[in-house]
Amino acid sequence: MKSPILLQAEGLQKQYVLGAPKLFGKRAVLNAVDGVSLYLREGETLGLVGESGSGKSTTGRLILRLLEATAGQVHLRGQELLGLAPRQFAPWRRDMQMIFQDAGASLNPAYNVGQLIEEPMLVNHIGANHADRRERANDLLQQVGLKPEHRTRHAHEFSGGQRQRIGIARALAVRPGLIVADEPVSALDVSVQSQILNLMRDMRERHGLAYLFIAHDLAVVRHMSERIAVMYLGRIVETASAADLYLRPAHPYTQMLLAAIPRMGPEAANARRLRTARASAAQELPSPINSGSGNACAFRTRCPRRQAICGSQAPVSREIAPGHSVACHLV
Amino acid sequence: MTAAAPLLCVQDLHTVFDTRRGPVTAVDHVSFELAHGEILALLGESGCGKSVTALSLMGLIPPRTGRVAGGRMHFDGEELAGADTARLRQLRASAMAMIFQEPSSALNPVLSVGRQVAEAMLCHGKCSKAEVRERVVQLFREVGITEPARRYDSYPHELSGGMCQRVMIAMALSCDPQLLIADEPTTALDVTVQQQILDLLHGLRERRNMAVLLITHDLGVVAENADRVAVMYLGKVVEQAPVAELFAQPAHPYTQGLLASMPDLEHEGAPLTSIAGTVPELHARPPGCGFAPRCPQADARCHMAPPPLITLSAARSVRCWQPLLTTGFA
Repeated sequence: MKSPILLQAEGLQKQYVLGAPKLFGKRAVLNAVDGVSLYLREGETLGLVGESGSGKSTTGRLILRLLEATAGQVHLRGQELLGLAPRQFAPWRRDMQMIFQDAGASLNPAYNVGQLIEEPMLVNHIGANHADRRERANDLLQQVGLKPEHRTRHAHEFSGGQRQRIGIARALAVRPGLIVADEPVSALDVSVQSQILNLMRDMRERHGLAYLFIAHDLAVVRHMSERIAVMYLGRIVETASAADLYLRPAHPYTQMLLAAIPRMGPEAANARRLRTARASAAQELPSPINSGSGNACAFRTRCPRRQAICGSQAPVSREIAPGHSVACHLV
Repeated sequence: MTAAAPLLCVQDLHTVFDTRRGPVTAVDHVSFELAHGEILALLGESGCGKSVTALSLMGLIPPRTGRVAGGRMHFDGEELAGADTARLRQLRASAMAMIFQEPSSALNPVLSVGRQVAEAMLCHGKCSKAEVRERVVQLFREVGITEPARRYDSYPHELSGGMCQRVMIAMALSCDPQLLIADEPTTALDVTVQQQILDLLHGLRERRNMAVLLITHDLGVVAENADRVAVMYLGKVVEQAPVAELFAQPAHPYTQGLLASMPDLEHEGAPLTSIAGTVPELHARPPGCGFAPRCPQADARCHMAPPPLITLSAARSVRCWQPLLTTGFA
C-alpha cells in the first residue's frame, strides 16, 4: 500500500536576470531551476543530489516559497501554494519546515533554546498556554537527545551536532508533515554525522514526516532516501528508487557521480586504478548562464557518450522501468 | 618501509597555544615518518590537531598565540624545530610547500592568478623576469589548467574552485618541493572535481617523486589515495598503519568507530553505528585516554592513565590500553 501523495511540484522554474554585459546589450538569464517536477508521498524521503550549482537548494527553497518561483506549481495535500496570497499561505508554511546546513547561523543568538523552540509554536498558535508550550519544548528536547535543563542556554554554547539537534527540535515544534533538509550533515564531523542521520530517521518514524533530503554526499543520500532525484544544471536528469539508482544508474551523469565517490575497504586501490584508466569526469560544471531551455542536452559538454542528437535536441524524461525515469537520448 | 632515510621524521612534536583559559596543547607528542614519494594521510575530525601539525612543520604557527614547545622535526637531514626564520623561509622556497582547503580565499583577489604564481617564483629566485611568464604557463599546463596562456591573466573570482586549487598546486610546485602538505585539499570541492584534483596529486607524486602529507577527515579519500595513515584524536596519533590494513582491521576503537559510522553505498540503511558523545574540548582533556569517555570498551584504567604506544608490527602502532589487535596484520 502506497501512502498518499503529500507534495507535488510541477514545472518549477527560477530565472535570475543578470545585468547586461554592455549598455543596451541583451541581459543574460541564469536558469537556476529549469522545469523541475517531483512528488513526495507521506512519510517518504526523496533525496535530491547534484554538484554545487545544480539548483538543488533553490528547488527546496522554491517549494517552501522562501524564494518566489518564476513559473510552476506546488501542491501540498492537494492545495496549490504558489498562487496563494501571503495571509492564506501562512498556515501551509507551518506544514513545511526546513533544516539548514549551518544550524548555528539559523538559530537566533539572542534567544535561549527554550525560546527558540517555543517561538514557532507561539506564532502558529500551537499549545494553549505558556506551560503547555514549555512542556512540549521539553519533550522535544528529550526526543532529539538533549536535556530539558538545556533550555536556558544559548546556541553558541553547543557543539555543531547539538545545534543541529536544536534545529530539528525547532522544526518539529509546529508538527510539520514535510521537512526540507538542506545539507543537514555536511558541516558535521563523521562521528557526529551518523548520530544526526540516525536521529532524523527516528524522528521520521515517530512523527510520520516526509523529507526532501538535499545533499551532495551520495552515500548519505543513499542511506536516508527511498527515492533519489539527480539534478544537473537546474534539471532533474534521473529519478529512481535508491537501490535502482545505485545498482543500475542509467544517465551518464549519474554514472559519473557514482564513479567519482571514493570507495573504502579492500577494493579501494583497485577502484582508483580503474577510474584513472577510464579518465572520466573531465571538466567541470559549465556556467548556467544562458544555458537553459535551449535545444540541447545540458550535460553534453561533459558527456563521454555524446552524439549529434545531444546538441540539437533537449532530452525528455521518460520511464525506462517502473519508478525509474531518465532524461537522456542514449538510454 | 625502505631502509633509506625518511624524508621527514617528526618526533614528539608538541605545539601549545595560549588561550584565555590557559595554555592548550593542540599537538601532543606526535611522531611519524614520511618517505620520499610517499603519501601519508593525517586523518581526524575537526580539532584533532592535524592542521596544527602541518602548520608546525611549515613554521607557520602564529608567534603571538602559539609555539612549538618541544620535539624534533627532521626534514631531509635538517632540523626544523628551532631553525631561524630566514632558513625556514628558504626551505619553504625550495623544498616544502602547502596547499589549503579554501583555494579561492588563499589567493589574492586583486592580482591575476598568473601574476601570483610568477611572484612566488621571482621571490624564490627560481627564474628571471623575462622567462617567468613562460614558466608559469608551463606549470599551469602541468596541473591541467585548460588554456593556460589565457588563464594567466584571469582573476581568482573568474575561476571555479577546482581551477583555483590547480593554481594553488601550480604555485606550490613552482618551488619544486620534495614535500607537499595538502590540508583538506578537496573538502570544499564537488566529488567529481575532488577526483580530478586527487588524480593530479597522484600524477605529480609519480612524476616528481614528491612526498605528500594529505590532511583530511574523509575516510574515502584516505582509502583510495594514501599509502599509510596516521589517525589523530585530541592532539595525539592514536593509530598508524598501511592503508589497506587499517581499513581491513582497525586496531583502535576510535578508528573502528569512524569506519562503522560511514554510510555504505552498497548496503541499504540500517541505522548507522555512531560514536557516542562528542570530542572533548582541549582544555578539558580527560586525565587518561582522550577517547575513554566515548569508548565502548573503556574501563577504569582507561579513565585513569594515558595509554601506552603499542607496536603491532614494523609498520603498525596503536595507542590504547585494550587494542582490538595485539599483533600485526595476519
